[in-house]
Amino acid sequence: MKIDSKLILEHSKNLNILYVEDDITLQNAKKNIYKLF
Amino acid sequence: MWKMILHYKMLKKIFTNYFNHVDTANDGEAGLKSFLLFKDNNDAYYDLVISDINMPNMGGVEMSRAMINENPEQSIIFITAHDEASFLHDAIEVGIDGFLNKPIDIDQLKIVLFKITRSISDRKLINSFYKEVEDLNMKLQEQNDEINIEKAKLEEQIVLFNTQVNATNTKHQQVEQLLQQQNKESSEPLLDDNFSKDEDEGEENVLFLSDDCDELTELFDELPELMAQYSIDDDVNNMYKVIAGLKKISSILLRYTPFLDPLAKSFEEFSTTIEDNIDDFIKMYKEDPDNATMLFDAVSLDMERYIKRFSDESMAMKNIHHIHHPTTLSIKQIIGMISPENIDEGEMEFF
Repeated sequence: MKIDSKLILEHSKNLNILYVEDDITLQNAKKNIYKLF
Repeated sequence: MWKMILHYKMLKKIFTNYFNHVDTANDGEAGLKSFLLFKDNNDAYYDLVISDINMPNMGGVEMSRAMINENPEQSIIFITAHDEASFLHDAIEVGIDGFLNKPIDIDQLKIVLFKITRSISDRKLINSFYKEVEDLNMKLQEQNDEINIEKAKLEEQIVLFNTQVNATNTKHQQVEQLLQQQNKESSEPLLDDNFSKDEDEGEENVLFLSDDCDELTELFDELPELMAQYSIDDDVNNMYKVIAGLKKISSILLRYTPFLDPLAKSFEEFSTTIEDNIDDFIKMYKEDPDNATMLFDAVSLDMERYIKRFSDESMAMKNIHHIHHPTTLSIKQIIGMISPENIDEGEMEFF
C-alpha cells in the first residue's frame, strides 16, 4: 500500500511533534544513508 | 525492487515537511524536559512524540511512561530495531500507539504517519466538537440559571399581584355591599310604580283639563327661551316675563285639588323670590348662566313629563307628592341660590 503525501499532510499540517533520537544510533546510521534492495 | 532507506538525519527534514512544528532531543531525559517545557509555553502537549527506544540517560520506555503519566492521551511512536524486541512488551504495556522498524523505508513511514496523524486529527476534531458542546452547554446552563432567577422574580410578582387583586376584590365587594345598602335605604317608588297603583288604591283621582295642559306646556316651553333671550339682549323685561309665567303656572295648579297646593305654592314662592330679588337673580344668572339654565330646564322637563301623564291618565292624589317632590326641591335650590335667607328647612317637607 502506498500513501500519497497529500493525504498525510491533510491530517499532519497542524500538528506539533517531538522527535527523540539517540546520537549513537545516528552515528551508526550514517554508514547507511541509502541502501538498495 | 528499489526501496529508499532513510537516514535518521533525514527524518527530521521529512517531519518538518509534514508537520507544523518539530522539536528534537538527543535522549529520553532531554525529551522529557522538552515535553514539559512545551506544555508550559503552549498550554498544550505535543500532538505526537516519535522516539528511539534504546537511549543513554533515560530510555524511550521510561520517558514514555513519564509522558503518559503526565498526559494519558499522549500519542507516541517508537522506532525499533530487530535487537530491541525485548522492549516491545514494556512499550505495549505503556500504551505506545505505533512502531517504525529500522531500517526505515519511506513507504512504511508514510503508512504509519498516515494512520497516526489521521487518528490524532480525528481525535482533535472530536475534542473540539466536544469542547464546543461543553461551551454551549455551559452557556445554556448560564441562560437557564438567569431564566430561573427571572422566573422566581416573576413568581414573586405574581404572588404579590394576586394578593393585590384579592385585596382589591375584597374592597370591591365591600363597596358593592355598601352601595346596595345605600340604594336600599334611599330607594323611592318610581313614577311608574306610583301610577300603577292608581287602579288599586286611588279613591280620588286628578286629571288635568286639556286647556290647562296646553297652557302649562306652552309656559314651560317659554321659560328657557326667555332666559336665553335675556342672555342675548340683556333686556330685563324677559326676566319679568319669566316671573309672570311662574305666577301663571302657580295659579293654574291651584285650580286643582289641595294635593297640588304645595307645588303651586312652590312656584308662587319661586316667582316672588325672583321678583323681590331681581338684581340678585340677574347677577346669579350672569355669573353662572349654565347652572341656572340647567336648574330651570330640570324643573321644566319634570313638569312637562307630569303634565303629559296627567293629561291622559288619572293619578291617585295621595301619590302626587312623590311626583312633584323632586320639582319642589329643584325650585327650592334655585331660590336658595337667589336668596339664601329664604331657605326654610321646614318648608321642604310638604306632607
